[in-house]
Amino acid sequence: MPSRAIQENFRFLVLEVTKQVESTVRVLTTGDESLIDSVYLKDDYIDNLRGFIDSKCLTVIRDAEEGDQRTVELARAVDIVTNNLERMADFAVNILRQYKYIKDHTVLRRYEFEPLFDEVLGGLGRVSEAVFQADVSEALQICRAEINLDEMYAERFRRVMSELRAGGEEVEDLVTTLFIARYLERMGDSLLNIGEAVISLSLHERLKIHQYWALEETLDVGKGESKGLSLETIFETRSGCRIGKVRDHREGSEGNLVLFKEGQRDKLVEERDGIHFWHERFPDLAPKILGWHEADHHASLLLEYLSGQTFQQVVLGGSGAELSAALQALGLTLRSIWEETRVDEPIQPGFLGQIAKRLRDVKKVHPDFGGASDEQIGALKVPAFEDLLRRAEAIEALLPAPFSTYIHGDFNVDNIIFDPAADRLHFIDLHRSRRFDYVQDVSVFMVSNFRLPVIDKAVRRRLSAVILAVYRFVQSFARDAGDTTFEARLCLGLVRSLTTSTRFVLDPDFAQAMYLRARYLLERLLAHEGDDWSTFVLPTNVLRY
Amino acid sequence: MASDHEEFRHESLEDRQSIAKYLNALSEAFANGNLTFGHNGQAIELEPRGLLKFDVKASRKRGAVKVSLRLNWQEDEEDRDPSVGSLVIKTSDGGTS
Repeated sequence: MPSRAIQENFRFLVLEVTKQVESTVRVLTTGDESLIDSVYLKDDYIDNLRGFIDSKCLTVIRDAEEGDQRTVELARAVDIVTNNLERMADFAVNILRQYKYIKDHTVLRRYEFEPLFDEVLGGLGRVSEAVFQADVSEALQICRAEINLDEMYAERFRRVMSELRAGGEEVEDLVTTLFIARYLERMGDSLLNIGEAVISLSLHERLKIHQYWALEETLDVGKGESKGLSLETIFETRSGCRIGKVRDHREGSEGNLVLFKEGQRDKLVEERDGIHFWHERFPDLAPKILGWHEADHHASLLLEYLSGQTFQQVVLGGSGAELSAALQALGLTLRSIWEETRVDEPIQPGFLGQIAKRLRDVKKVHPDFGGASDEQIGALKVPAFEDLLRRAEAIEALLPAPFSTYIHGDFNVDNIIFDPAADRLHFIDLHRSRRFDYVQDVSVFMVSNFRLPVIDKAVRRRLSAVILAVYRFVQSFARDAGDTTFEARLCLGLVRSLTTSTRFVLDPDFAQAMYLRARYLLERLLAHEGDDWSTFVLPTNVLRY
Repeated sequence: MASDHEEFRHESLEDRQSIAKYLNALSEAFANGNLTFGHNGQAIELEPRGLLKFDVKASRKRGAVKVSLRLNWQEDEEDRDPSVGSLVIKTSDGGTS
């Protein structure tokens, strides 16, 4: 923990910046210009606070004991946040400077700035908590203020432009209004920086010294000599593992690339077992294990580096021919896995139960989703999402998969590597591989395409085409395999993936589009209740956006 | 081919009985899948299909009441853009699924 002096002064800073913004909104809405001078005066005090916290943070970073990386990370985050807060206070001063140029205040009022200030103040209200608790969900809310501010700014920008084009007397005031809106938009950028600093703090972005040791020890297990290694890149997975790309120069100056994974022991044991699981039947599908090292809580794994592109890279940036080739390889791989590992014993996937476990995380990011109470429109009762889930669970219980197969378990577009030179696929991130209903992989794959945050129309069409092609392919497999309840189970799997994936989607409109699709699918499924499930047809248009 | 931008707007004063006629007309049109808005010999013909985004809002603020219904949808992409259905994964027996 940073010293008490830093904490106290930091909280002061948040408070003072908040007051500056509050005074600014009062001047703009009430025209009470007596506040302007006090805002100007306060700005110096805020600069001093920032200077004080800055120098304290630097001292903490300099004096931290080796291994006390956590304190250093926190001090760095506080420093970044401090500087962004000070910038926000400057923007408040700039807004008031602009305000003085306004001749006709009705122009300004027409543009209603309160909602923008509300966003800024809402974000500021979360800063202290987010930083000192390293609270990711608070940080996400802070980041979200930036999205909202951008939208509100864009709307005002368009209005100013169209008023300017229409001509009239108000040109100067309109331009000044636009400047003011722009400063609010930049406050949003600062909030985004603050939110990101907290997120990277709680994800332990920087490599820790003990991970270098782990890397050396892992390599010792492999070859005996640990010299001649260079770390190229490092990134972190959502499950908290850290992955490094390491060049191994021990057998030549060029060096081979290997992947180094370090993290919680339990997670990596799962990953290693997942790889062994595949190696027995499909030796080339998963990366080879080159080294393994485990300590009390941590473990590290050295893996063959697989060349190629992730399916995500192919679908977003590959040529049409590459995408088609990757899809053919996907079809061949899946069909051979499913046919060769099929065991004719019913298995209950329990997709809806998987939602229940994650609904709390979803609600942290999107509090409006998954409501527990009904709505009423005239004589129509609109059941709550939780109610729909409960009723669908009764249906799900009647629909076990007729057979099980090997599944990847986390079949996202970025866990599939396509090697165009060898025209083949590899699977990575195998910690959830097991024997299960193949529909789990299918639904996760479809939704991982759908939820890519892309708005470009041509790319969206591509994503739809991929989803539809996979659907038709699996439909044909199911027909050949005599799996008559495939469509209904896929529907349940999609409900599960659409709902739970919203926790990774920050854009509120896009997240809502996914949530409403999950709801729609549940309602279609419930409408079929009482009929033969082999006649249920999945409404595939839900997977177009 | 219809032009790229078409617009229709209607405003009137109604009462409780007369408004029901409008709502029934809309309700029937959606049920039939065919919705025509006409004025001055011009008509916008809509065929709602697929997913409709539906947004109902009701508010009362110091006696001023507002109920708004909003529906929006995309006209079927597959009709306009044949490439959506063009990607195909061949099945192992050489046929296409």
